[in-house]
Amino acid sequence: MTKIHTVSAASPGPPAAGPSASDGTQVGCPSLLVEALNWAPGDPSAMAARLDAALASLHPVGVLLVLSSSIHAPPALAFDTARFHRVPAVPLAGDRDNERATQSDDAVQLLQHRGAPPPTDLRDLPAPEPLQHYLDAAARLQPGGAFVAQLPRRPRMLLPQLEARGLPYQLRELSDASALVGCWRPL
Amino acid sequence: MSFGGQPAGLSLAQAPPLSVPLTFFLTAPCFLCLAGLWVLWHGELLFLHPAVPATLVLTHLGTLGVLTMTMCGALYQMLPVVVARPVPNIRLAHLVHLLLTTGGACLLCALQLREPALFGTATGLLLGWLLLFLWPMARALGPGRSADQLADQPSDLPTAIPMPLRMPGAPPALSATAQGTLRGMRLSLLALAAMATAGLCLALLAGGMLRGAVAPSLLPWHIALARAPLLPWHIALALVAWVGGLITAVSWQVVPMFYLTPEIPPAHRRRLLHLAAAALLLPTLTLLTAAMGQFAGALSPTHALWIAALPGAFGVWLYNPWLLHRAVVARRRKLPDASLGFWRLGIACAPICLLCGAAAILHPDPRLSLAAGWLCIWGWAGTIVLGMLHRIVPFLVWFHRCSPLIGAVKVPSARQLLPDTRTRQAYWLHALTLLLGLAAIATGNGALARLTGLGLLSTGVRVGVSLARVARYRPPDPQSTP
Repeated sequence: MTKIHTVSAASPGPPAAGPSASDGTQVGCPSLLVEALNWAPGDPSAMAARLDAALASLHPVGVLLVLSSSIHAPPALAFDTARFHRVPAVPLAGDRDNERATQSDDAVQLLQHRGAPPPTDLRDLPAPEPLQHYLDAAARLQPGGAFVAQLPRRPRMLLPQLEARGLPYQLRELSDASALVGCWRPL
Repeated sequence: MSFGGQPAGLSLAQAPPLSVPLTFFLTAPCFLCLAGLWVLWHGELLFLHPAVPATLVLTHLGTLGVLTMTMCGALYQMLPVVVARPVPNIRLAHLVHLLLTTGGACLLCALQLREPALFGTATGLLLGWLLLFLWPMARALGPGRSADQLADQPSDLPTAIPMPLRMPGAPPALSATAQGTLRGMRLSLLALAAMATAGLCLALLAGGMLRGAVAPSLLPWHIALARAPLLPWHIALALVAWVGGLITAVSWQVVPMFYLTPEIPPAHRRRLLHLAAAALLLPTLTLLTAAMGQFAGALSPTHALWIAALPGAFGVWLYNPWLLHRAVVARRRKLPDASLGFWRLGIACAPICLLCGAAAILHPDPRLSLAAGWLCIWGWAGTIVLGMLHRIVPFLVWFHRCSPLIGAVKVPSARQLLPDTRTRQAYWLHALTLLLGLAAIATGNGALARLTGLGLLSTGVRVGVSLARVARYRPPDPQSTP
């Protein structure tokens, strides 16, 4: 079964760890994209601690996606801890399939381990160049290495190529129609 | 806001084999060459009146041989990739191609020779094409789950790491743009079914195999099957609802994808879908009204049919081109791209099609009808189709043959497979041919007409050679590469 990585003020406790054999997924697969829902006001240090715990399950180049509503928008400084940083040029979310959603309604912020390279931005490349760049980078991965990139849209033609190469991947579509895709070369 | 990630996309088995779209795409330039030879042979005769048999042949070389041929191949390719709906029984596509090619050739001979047996054969072959093409398409496009939605199920794939899945209020698996394209494709395929049925009836009428009326006992009304209202219905549905509808729906996907333009806003897409539905429904209702003898008024049924097609024509020749022009101007990165020239030219021709079409309704000068047809088939739709061929064929060849080898051997990029210089040559040849054709129509000059034929032939050869070279490309064997 699938596993949902959740950090929530309403459900205290450490975030779920990475996939395990008991849930039918590969043992040892890192979490490249982890979603943290429902940022709520409260003790910023408690929230930061939870995010910190979520980051513990994250691959060194992985991305943590934090969702918040405009009412409970997390203060920017809350993210600036010693262990993680915000990915620059984060697309503000709104539901791209729901016109009523606007940038002020919802927001996704992307966090990474401090010092991790930001996701490679392939959005400004015409098809099929994002696919080509992604496959180039994936081909150069060392065992245990991972690659995360932001593509202009859901990469339907990339996913079967990753499967054919035996590279596990994770995908998350963002509000600007782009998609974050992380892949990992097994040890 | 919703979180939704699906672990799997298409499997490679769901994507159509490269041979399926390529067969259609490589046949289209052959018909373009035939059109050139036809114009070279008949010269100015083709530019006298749209109802001249040789002109009808030229028209169908363009509509069946170039436009429909390419659009069938594109639908086989795009359904799985863009809207995540694999076409069932994909191997039938080769038979569909054969039936379209032979049926189209038979129809061309029948139109020229006026031989009843040829009309009968053409009708049979094209009916086979229509059924074998539409049935799998209807199954793929019908209500059901897309590959993305199926991917929400627990996957057996050992490589897919499950991501957090759908939360309450999650968006549908397809993006709004893809859903708009899906609806547009459904409408255009309905239009194809209606348009082709009308065309087959016209062929049977021309061959003398269909007379009188559809059995009155089966219907509450007596529907007269007359050529007069059927012909404008066939033309309106073919150019506006089928070709226009599909170009419009597909442009929402391919223009942002290939040229990095902003997406067409959803509100505009919705209005255009309504206009596409009107392009199908209004002429059909007018035809039914006319056929039941209920039509009364100062307008003839033919004129009423043309007027009924106007809302749809406004959508495909004015509204969508304006949106596309706006999007192209606002490109995020203005990279030089020769195939974009085709889109620009096609977009520029679209409003002139509308003007010429409207003028042809108001004024009986046959040159206006000829100019409208020429601009519509070769100027607007033909130009866009040629541009897409230059973009899609290298893309597909690269995807199927090169991308699996990335990391194993050095492979060229899709752009290197078809250099811009060749695309630019095709573009200029085609643009010159369009102008020559318009001049030939305006003047009736034989030399200009034959130059137009030469232009069509040169464009066809240039496009065909370019695409064939791309299709022949084989990457180096990883085993033999050090």
